[in-house]
Amino acid sequence: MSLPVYRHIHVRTDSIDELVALLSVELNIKNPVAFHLETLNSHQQKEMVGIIENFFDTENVSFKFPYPVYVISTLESSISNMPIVSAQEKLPKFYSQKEGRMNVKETHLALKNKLMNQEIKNVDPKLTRDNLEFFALEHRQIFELQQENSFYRTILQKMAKVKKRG
Amino acid sequence: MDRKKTGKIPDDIKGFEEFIEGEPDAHSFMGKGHPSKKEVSFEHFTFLTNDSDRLMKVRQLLVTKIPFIKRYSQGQTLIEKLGEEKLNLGNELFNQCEKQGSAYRKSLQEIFEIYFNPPKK
Repeated sequence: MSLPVYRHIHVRTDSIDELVALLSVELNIKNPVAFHLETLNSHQQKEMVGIIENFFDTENVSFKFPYPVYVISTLESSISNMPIVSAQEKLPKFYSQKEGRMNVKETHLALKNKLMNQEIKNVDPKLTRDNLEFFALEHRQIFELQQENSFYRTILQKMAKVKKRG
Repeated sequence: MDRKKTGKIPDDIKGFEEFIEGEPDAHSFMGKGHPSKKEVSFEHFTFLTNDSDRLMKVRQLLVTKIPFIKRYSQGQTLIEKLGEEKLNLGNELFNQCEKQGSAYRKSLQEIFEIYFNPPKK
């Protein structure tokens, strides 16, 4: 049992087969993962990001939970849905911990976390994403309707005030 | 005069000698800032506890909240009600503006008079 700290994967060649061999459905179950693509050129980086993202999509595995998967690249973060950072120092500090031996109490806690990870892993990410997107869409509609209604209400109130004044 | 030189203690500082001079051998009871082995281990425990909280929240969202939202969604009902309210408010607003002598009509009348009525001499 080890601490859930970053697992750094350095991709130094543009070989697709090598990258595919590194990917598995259990990649982010035990710890967060950081793919280092910064040594490749931008075209190769784009291709690699596409392959990684496509893998998670086709296998119906989430790169957000149980542990996040990050890509360290010189590309703009907008080119992919995956979280992209420009340098290792910009990764969230939360998982940057010193590794060491765990005592009995900590091992028990880690085992409890492992069970939760398994439960989270069993959730269907596509279904979850669809549900969340639908929920967000509904609430955006509700917000817009509510704004429009409050605008009409303000006009009516102002008109009533003018009427009172004569 | 310096007390060390004379060996006498001035009357006004009697009883406060230790407080003024301090104890030469005194040292902080907190010790130096080197973390012990136990403290480092406690760091791990805190980290694991925080991670456990995070996982618990993610689990709650994915396993409890999202299925609940899907099953008992209030969104469509709210949208329908707000749509009805919007129609009613629109109608009310239109009726108010349409009335004879309404503020809207008066404003329009003023604008038309300015632009289309010949100036009175």
